[in-house]
Amino acid sequence: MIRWLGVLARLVVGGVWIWAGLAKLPHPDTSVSAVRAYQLLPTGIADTVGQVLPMVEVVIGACLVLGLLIRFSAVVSALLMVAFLIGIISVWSRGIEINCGCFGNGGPNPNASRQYPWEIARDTGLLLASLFLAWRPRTPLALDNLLFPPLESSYETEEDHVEAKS
Amino acid sequence: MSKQSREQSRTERAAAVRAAQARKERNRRFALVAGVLVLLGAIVAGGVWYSGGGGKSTTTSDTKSVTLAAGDASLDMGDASAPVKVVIYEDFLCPYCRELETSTRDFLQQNAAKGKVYVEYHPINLLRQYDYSAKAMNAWAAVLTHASPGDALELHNLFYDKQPYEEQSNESLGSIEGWVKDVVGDDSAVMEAIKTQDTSFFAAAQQAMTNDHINSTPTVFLDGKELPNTSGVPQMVTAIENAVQQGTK
Repeated sequence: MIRWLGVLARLVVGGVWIWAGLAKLPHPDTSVSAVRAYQLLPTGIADTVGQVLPMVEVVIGACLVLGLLIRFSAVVSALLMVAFLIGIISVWSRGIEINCGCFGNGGPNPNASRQYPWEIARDTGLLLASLFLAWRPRTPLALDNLLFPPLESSYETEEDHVEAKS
Repeated sequence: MSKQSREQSRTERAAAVRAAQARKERNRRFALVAGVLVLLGAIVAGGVWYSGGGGKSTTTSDTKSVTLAAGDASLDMGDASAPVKVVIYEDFLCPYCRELETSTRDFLQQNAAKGKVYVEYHPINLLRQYDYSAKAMNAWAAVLTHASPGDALELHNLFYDKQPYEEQSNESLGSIEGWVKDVVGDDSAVMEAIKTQDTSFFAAAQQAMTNDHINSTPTVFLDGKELPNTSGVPQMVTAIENAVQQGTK
């Protein structure tokens, strides 16, 4: 049961990442503006993050949906969520009213303070799902199961083979 | 060999095979993980390059291939008889003006050089709560008035490339003079002019703002019609590109 919960977490978190990344991918300048709007990172680093982030989101999302390097992808996903949470809490505390830019819709928003709690709740949920996958990465319907089969079973097979030959 | 010895020998051989197999499997997994990570890194890099993020325009773009003229508190680019006219009101500190600028800079310059579009850049002092906005505009006015329109376009582009955050813009006030020097060198007339505010230039810019009812930036007029800025910069960019490519009046 818990393994199928992992599949659900992969599909939800991965799907959100793919959606967020694809929404931003056609407009790299808008993505840069969205990152700069937080006024947190040095401008040069913010520009690079804005350009690279959409592709990272798509790739991490695809890895989670396909079940490729699940623990690694889940850890990256969790770290990104922590970064986003810090960003939203930071702009909220400084009184900066912006759209989060999470799905390519950055820009000033006079009602942003009302949305920040919901965005924090959403990202916290996705963070918990990512941490769950980092803790329990073995799930059905995953490429990892083909590339990295459980060690015990492969050793048992070899041992049986040796004993059968003796 | 006793039965016990044979059992022990078989157990040791099996343990050795297991250890060798474990080593082999660890190496295989390490190589596989490394290979997949390299592949994912290549996909990210390729995607960033393909989406245009790796090819940002900079102030090195050729500003000599296009006709430039100083207007009334504006910089005019291209042939005034071009089929499409774009008028842009912008503040050097406005982050979404920066987005519009980086999204349209090369496109507008190239098409102005081809005679397809005529562009008027109207820098204005909208963000008056920040000293940077007025100081950058005054420096730009000094370059436009005392140096050349080409230098003014270069400084215009440089200001957007170097744009600081609004909340931290006071820290960049001292950098403005250096950026002006990067463009015009030690031009004494310009360096003298940037020390005091060009009140006539500011008044002309204010008058243009009043005439065109400007209360936010970026504001873009495409053939005299104001583009809605509520739907975001990408939609403004698309409207400009479509109009220029279709050559519509």
